[in-house]
Amino acid sequence: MAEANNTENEGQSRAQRPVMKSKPRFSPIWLLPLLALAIGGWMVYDDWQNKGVHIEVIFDTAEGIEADKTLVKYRNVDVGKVSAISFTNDRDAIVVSIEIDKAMQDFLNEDTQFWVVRPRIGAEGISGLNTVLSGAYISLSPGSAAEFTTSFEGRNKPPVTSPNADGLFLTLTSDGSKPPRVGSPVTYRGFTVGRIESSEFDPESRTASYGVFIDAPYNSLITTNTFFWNSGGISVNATTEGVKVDIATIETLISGGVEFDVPEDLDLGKPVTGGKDFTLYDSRDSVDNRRKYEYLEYALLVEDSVSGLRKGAAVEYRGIRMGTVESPYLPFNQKVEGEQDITTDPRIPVIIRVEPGRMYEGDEIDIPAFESLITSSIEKGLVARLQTANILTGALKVSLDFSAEAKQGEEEKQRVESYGRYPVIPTQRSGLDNLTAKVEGILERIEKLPFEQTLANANGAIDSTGSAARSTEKSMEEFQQMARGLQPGSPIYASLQDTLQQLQDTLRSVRPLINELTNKPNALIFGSGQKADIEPKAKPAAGARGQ
Amino acid sequence: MNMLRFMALALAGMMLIGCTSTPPPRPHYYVLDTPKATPIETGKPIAVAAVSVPDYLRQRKLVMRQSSQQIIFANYHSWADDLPASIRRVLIEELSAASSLYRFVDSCTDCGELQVRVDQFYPTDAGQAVLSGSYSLRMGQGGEQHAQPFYLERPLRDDGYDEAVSQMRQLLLDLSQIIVAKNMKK
Repeated sequence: MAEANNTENEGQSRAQRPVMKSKPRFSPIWLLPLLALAIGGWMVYDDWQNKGVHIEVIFDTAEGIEADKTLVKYRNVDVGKVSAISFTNDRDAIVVSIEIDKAMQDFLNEDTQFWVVRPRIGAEGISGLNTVLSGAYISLSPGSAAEFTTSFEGRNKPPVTSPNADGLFLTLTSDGSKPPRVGSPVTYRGFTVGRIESSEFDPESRTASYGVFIDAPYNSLITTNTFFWNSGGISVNATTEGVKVDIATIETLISGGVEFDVPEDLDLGKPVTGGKDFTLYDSRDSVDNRRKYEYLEYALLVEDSVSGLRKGAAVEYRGIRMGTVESPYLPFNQKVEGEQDITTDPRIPVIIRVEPGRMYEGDEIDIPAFESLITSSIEKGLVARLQTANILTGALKVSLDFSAEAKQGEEEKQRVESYGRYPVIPTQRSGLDNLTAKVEGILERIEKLPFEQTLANANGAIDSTGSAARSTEKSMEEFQQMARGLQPGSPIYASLQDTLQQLQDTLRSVRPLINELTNKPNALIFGSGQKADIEPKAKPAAGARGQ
Repeated sequence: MNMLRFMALALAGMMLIGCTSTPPPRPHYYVLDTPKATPIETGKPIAVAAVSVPDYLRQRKLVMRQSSQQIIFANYHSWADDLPASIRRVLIEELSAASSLYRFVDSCTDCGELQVRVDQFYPTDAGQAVLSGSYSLRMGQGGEQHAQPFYLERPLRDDGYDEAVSQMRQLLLDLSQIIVAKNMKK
């Protein structure tokens, strides 16, 4: 029992004696937080590693943009996200903070463009419909500049052309009244080769300028002699030659457009590589009419009305366009130096420009030689007339030709006069004016004729003719009466017939005597010496037979 | 004086010479028709138009054919009256006598008509009297009219123009009877 008690006591002593073990330095329990820390650290690292580029884009409006929601896409691939939206310092614009994927960092340069893609309806069509359900997003178009930047100006509308597209960028200037829309096509002989990218109006100069992009390889068509004109809508032109209706494509009909080409009378010119400004003309015809030529100015002193003559009207030589009217009249209070004014000389001075470039091919024009040609022509009888250019509108043009006397060689050498600094081309009335003057002269002469006296004489003549007619009628009746007496069956007629018959018989009887006397003139004295007649002889009797 | 006497003598001599010439033959005048009293005629009237003759018969001298192509005119034998008028009168007389249904007159209205054209009417030296030509007869107004030729001859029984004229008169009678027989007795 004691041993059992000893054992039991030892056991209890061992049980009561604490066992001393060495404590491990690192508790496994720390694995969990360490693991969490590692994961967390790795996440932070990963997040730091993949952190995008923070950029700021300034828009006019944040319509459709939400922070932490709106995506940034390039070719429908997510490349970033809007992180925050705030105002600029002056509260005039919206600053959209965007995180762009690091891999897309090289897209971020000065030329990169950002715009919001939302549903749009325009002349170019409906776009962005997919954003109705998915929500608007920001699209970008990378530029080609070298410098990296993180601050951008957002566009209100998508760019017409990609900034790194291959082609030529031009500026067109216009003071016309038909502005083409942004996005309208630029065509060359019916083919679309570019687009209008932008339009801007300058109130100071009152001109509009348009940014035009010509796609490659069509940019080689642009040369120094290229002219641009507005081809939108319908152009209707009514002249003496007829009515001309001009429509380009259906797209240009609806939304307008610009067309370009090199005029036929010019050579192609040198290719343009960029930076040149061109003028946008209102129409193809106005390219020919209004393009700038070198010119010589002359004055016409017109005696007739200049109503219908406008600035820009044509000056023609026998139908060939050779110039333009610069000023249909000088203001009456603008006295040309050395010349009389309106009170003493009622002729209206019209200033015209003779443009030799219209009649010469190529670029080399000898202006002095042309000037001396005009001067010698004036000396030989060159005159100017105002003629109708358009019957419908009554517009006038100036027509140059040699006078009728000059054509016949009767004109003496004319002295070239001058009106201030302008040489004068003599004027003559047009054919229509001449005709009008002649008709007026004839009418005046007719008016001077003594109609009343002539009518009185005519009345007297009619009266006397009436009485003469009555007496003639009476004579006719008497004649008819006499004629009735001579009709066949009347006694006189029968008597006449008998008399004629007797006359014929007498003549027949006298004829043999006349023949006899012709053959034997002395037959009257010595007798005809005729023998007795030969008489028929009888035949032996036979029966009468007949048929 | 001597000259005057000489001329008177010459004239007298010439007249004597003229007196010694043979006196000319005596002229003879003939007529075709022999008017006789005609009874009042009945029947439908037919007008006989003026007879047409060739020019050589439109004169008073009697004509004789001496050969096939030669005609001689008698100087001393003449018609007393216009030959075409005489022929017409004879025809009227003889046609009326030959027809009982019709009477032939100078003129009438709304009636038939007979037209006669004479081409030959003379004696020949062969002893024949010849009458030839054509006639056309329209029985009533609007009736048909066709030209019908005729050629009649009679021998001369004696010499001379007396016999010739007598036979020529008979030829007209023959013609009248032929016209009536062919057209009016149906």
